Amino acid sequence: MRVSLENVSVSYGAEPVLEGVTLALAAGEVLAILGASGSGKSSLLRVVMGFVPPTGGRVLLGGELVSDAGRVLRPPEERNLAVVFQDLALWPHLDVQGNLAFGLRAKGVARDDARRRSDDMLARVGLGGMQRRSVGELSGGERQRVAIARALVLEPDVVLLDEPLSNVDIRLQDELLELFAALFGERESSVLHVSHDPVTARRLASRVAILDQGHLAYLGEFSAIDPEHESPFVRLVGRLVQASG
Amino acid sequence: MVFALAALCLLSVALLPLLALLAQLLGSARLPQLAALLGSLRLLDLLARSLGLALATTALALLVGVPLGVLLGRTDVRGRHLVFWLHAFPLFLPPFLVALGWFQLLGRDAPWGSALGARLLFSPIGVVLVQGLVFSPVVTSLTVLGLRGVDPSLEDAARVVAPPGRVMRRVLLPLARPAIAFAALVVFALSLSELGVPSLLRVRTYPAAVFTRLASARYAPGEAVALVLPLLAVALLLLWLERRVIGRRSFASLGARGTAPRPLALGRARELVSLGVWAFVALGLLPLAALAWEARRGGLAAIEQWAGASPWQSLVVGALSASVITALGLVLGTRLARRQRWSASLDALSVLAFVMPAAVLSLGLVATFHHRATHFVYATTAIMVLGMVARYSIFGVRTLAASVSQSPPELEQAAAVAGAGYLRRMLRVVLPMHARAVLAAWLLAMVFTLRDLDTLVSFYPPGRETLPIRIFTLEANGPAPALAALATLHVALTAGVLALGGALLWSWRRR
Repeated sequence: MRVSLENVSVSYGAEPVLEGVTLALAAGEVLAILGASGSGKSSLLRVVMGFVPPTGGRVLLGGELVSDAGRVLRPPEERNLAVVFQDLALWPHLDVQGNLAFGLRAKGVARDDARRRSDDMLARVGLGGMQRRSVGELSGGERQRVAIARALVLEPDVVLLDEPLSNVDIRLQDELLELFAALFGERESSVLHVSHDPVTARRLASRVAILDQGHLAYLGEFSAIDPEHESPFVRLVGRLVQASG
Repeated sequence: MVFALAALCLLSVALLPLLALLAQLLGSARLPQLAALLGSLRLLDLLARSLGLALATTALALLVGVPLGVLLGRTDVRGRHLVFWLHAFPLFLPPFLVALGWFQLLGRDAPWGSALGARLLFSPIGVVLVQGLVFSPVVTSLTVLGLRGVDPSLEDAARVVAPPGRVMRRVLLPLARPAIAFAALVVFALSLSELGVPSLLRVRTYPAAVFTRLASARYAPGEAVALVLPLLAVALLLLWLERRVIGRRSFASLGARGTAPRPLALGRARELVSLGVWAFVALGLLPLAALAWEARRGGLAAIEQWAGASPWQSLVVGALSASVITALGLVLGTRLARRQRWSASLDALSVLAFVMPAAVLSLGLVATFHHRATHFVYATTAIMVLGMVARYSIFGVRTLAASVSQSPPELEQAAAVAGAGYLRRMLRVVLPMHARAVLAAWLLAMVFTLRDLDTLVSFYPPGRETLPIRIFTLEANGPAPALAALATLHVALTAGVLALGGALLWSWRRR
């Protein structure tokens, strides 16, 4: 599904956190969002999710206007989105299957069907047979896989990755990036991948949006970042990408 | 050293009385007769009735408190902050004052009175209704705190895929369950201890049976000691439940997150729901208005004569007890938050002293301090302060534990590495960082001490009665306007303390 942000601004009180951001990603495309802490990455995701109305501008999903200046026209649960959060946000009172089935049941999928789809997705991420395990008993890697499975079992139009790889070791990071690439390749979901690490982000996306103090400082291919760009943060990203080959 | 002193203080007011009580019972020459007394069907029936009343009260408080907690804590009900405090206010009063207010409204000679109303009020149903409504703010508050303590990303993850109602039912309320379960336990313990409401509404209960053996013509302290044994068993069961079902999660989940979560929009139902909530809360305040109205009929003129020194005594006992409870709470709560050695056992002891029916604790304190050597304690305000510290130390420990657990231990560790000793770390790091929680703990302990009747009534020294005791003892044959005036004075005293403390808390928040 095509995702479009048109001149989107967000303020909390008098303080602007995003100003006039315009970007679009095509159906099936993965777009990396990079930025330093406080650059507005999380606010951008929250606008797309529908938790925060834009103070100005508008958001369209698949051509449908879902948020307009000051208004959320379509609530989060009706946007067919899925999110993998930085801290994973697995519900501790539900087992692995319960975590996967929650969204399906909320969308009206019958109990048996929800169970079958959850089982299939768990098998797909290498967690077959772990349905009844408590999420508190899982290893870090298994928890990451459950969070990914929980997002993708919904067959969402748009997947939002909110720095899900920031707290994992490099071996697991590598495994998960392989898994992401394989799963995203199977679907036509558009993916917004928020990250603070350009090298990791580049393995999933070819295009990047770089935010600097609430402004969109760069939008384009990783390979085309100008080493003389006016934004120091964009120059830094360019150097890191170049150094990583 | 400071920790050892705090631990010793708690052990001597909460554990020593229990041991003294058991020693007195086992050393009694009349042990076989006392054992036979415990087996009497009449007493067992009374115990079952008291447990039934406490269970029904808890069920009603949950029925009222959980939905109100959801509405006031997470939705956009109009004026929800003000309505929350108005709803919570009766909890800070002795429950029998509220019962007295209902009597002014529904008694046989009252303006809205009828034979049916009076019959209903003076029955177990009346006791459950009064207690359930008075104690429901415990559930409301802990539900609000429990919901606010849920990690925001868990809610966001659910909101992306499910509507707000389903998120509340399937994610937020289950995650707030430890806090709600703890609330149920507190309400059960408070209702099982309650002496004032059943006595006023002429409903016989087990704690009243114990009390009459201490403070009436049927004076039989040996029997009273025997009678508290089943209550002690109930207290141990409650403690076990608290540890098993709730445990550490109850205070961990009470640490409210830094920012208030977004209220869920009620949409078109907002006005109607707001009206319903306001009407319900106003109903709860009606008895207090009735007391003030009754006080106008000549009660206020003679209030000084009827009250005597009891308001001052209330304030002195309250302030002293709250200060000791807060100091203990700072030391033990910090240790509990950091999961250091002995903290869980001492926390369990403070829980036990709170969930223990007041009669058990009171008799234990009598057994411990009613000796010639400890006369300087037993015959003075000191015994009252000790009783209050034992019963309400949980407020200090848990409030401070919840607050301290929100800050990283590295802050204290950094001070230690920089060479600061224990006392300096507590005074220069922990205390300033958690000053609002310290004040909140003090305030909570102060108002609960002010409202206490059940514990103090069994052992207050002659001439040292607090205001609730004064009203309770006058209730049988004092003139109604004088009683209403004293009750109104108590309401004003509590409101004043809360307003002062609330203003301080608010100003510290802004700073």
